Amino acid sequence: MSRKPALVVEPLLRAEGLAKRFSLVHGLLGARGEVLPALRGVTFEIARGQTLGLVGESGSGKTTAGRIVARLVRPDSGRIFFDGTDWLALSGAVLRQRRREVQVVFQDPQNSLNPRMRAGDQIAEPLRVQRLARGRALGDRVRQLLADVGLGAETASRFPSDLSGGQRQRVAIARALATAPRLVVCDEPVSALDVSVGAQIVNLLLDLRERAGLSYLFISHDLAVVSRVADRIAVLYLGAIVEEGPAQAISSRPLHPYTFALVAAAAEPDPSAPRRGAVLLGELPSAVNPPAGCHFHPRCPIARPRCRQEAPALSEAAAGHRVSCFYPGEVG
Amino acid sequence: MVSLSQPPKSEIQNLAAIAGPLLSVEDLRVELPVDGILHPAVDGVSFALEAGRALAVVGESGSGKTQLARAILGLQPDGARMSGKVLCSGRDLSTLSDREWRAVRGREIGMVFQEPAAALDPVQTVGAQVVEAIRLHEPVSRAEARRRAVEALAEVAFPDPERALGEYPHRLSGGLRQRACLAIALAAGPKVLLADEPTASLDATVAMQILELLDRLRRERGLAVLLITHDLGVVAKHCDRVLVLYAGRVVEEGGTAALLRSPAHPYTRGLLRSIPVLVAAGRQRGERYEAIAGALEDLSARRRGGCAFAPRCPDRFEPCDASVPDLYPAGEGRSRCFLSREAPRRGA
Repeated sequence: MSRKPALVVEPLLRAEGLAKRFSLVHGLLGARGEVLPALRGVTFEIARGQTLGLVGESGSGKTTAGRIVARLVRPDSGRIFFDGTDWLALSGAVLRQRRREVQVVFQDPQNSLNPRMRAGDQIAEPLRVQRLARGRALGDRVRQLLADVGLGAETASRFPSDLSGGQRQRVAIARALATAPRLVVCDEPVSALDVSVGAQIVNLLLDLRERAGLSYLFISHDLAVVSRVADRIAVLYLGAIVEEGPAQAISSRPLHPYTFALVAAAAEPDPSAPRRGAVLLGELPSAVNPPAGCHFHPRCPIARPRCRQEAPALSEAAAGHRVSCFYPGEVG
Repeated sequence: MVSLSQPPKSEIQNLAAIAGPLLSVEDLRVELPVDGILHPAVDGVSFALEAGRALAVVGESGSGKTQLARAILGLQPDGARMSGKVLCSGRDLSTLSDREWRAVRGREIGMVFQEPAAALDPVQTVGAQVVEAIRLHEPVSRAEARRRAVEALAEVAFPDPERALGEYPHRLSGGLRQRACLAIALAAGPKVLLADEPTASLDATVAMQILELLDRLRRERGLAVLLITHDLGVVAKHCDRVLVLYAGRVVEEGGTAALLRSPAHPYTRGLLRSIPVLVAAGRQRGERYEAIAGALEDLSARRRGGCAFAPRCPDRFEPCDASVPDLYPAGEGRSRCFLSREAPRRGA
């Protein structure tokens, strides 16, 4: 493999071989039983000012990946380099201080905001904790953040229950932006919202990315939303990336049969548009006992004997486009 | 079912009605109390649904779609006031007693909801729940009910229905739970299925399977489906007609293809532009949605005199503030917008 000399810009974040297993505890006595591998060695990069979309169904491991990046969950193995720093090695005061650089916007602002705290105080909290502002400057900063997310200063005195779903998500975004992060993990940020409100929030995230030079790790089950926001897309299936590449290539010429099914299932409100592809058989199998060979083979319309025995590796099929399939691009 | 001798008069009426709509709603109005004052959550909704057809009721939070669904099932919150008619196979349901209602729900109108996990009893097997649904409406033996339960599960394409009888809901995936709910909903043989966001909690590929199953049930047993959803993408390929609700009123109705191709109402247009569609070829990085500005006001804060959408409408002009527009003909459908009155041929 020849490395391009010079001018190789270091990505903002590089995650290598992230793996995480959760023990499933059964029964009242907590007898330990099965182990759920949420992530099985996942590698990805996020370039500066760019957005990586992480797409997968429930149980694919996408949320775990986001939590590891935000240092909310520790992986069993793997490494993360954030702006050149060994991100997972940070601890204590340094970690507390640098946490501000990676913030999270969760799916449901109903749960991520404190119901007993006024919106302004929730936005001020990270500024206080990080000692970034105090006194009058703190109030000014909160008002500025509210304005940045399209809310009036009067919102500061309101409780989450007085706000609509869209307003709550705006408060959650303002809170995430309070510490001027460089990377924001957006975990299903519009999934709990009405369609028209979700569109407003996506627009806001796009505006903020431009204005503040943010990078996003944008996690969603909805390939259609992701295709609007992301520069590159990684598709997760049972804890592993099955395809990764430029957003446009993933949405228009998917190589993995699973990605193809997601493209086919993506909302298409034009009834005259051709119906694409066959419906996938069955559902995501248990991650505890994944199928042998290629984990996708029981649902795959083009599975062949080899797929039942051997697991394909994630390898480059075109420039900057990786796929783990023995027969890439054959479906469709 | 139909005897060869002279049928009684009521049955003739029934047969005539069956040829017409299975479910019709006439000028339905549901008012909910907020701080002691009644506000219309559903405001004069009418529609008809025939056998084998699927009608989508599309609306966002606060549109009244949930109250509409509850009213069709004869369920109203405390202190609510309801008027208008709900007719099932020509029979007026608005005058039924609670007891008569229980016979209608499940037997004539089946129901499935967004969260199959919440709709199922966690401590009973799937089989027991299907059997219960059958025996609730028909005095058949346990063995017969069990045999029919297997049929019901097979009809919703449950893999290995015999084994499924003994499964508990928590052991099933979301998609299989929704299939179990469908089997229960259809167990007593209703002709109408009311499906309230049946795929909203499911993954995209699984949602697609459930929607295709509903399509098949319509074709094979003439099931009439009332699909309540916020998702126009779901509507596109699985419904014949669409009603768009805003602030409790129908703002646009029409055949799915025509309505989606040339929406007449500014709200429908905005909603369509807000749908996340796959952006692939020729896209621009970070292209914005043409989103609808603002938000729908709370029930108690809504304006009464003019068009409810006017405060958010890009096409607002003087008449919009003066009075509530009627449903004017627009293309093949109707639109509650003064622009459709001015130019009735547009959008055709």
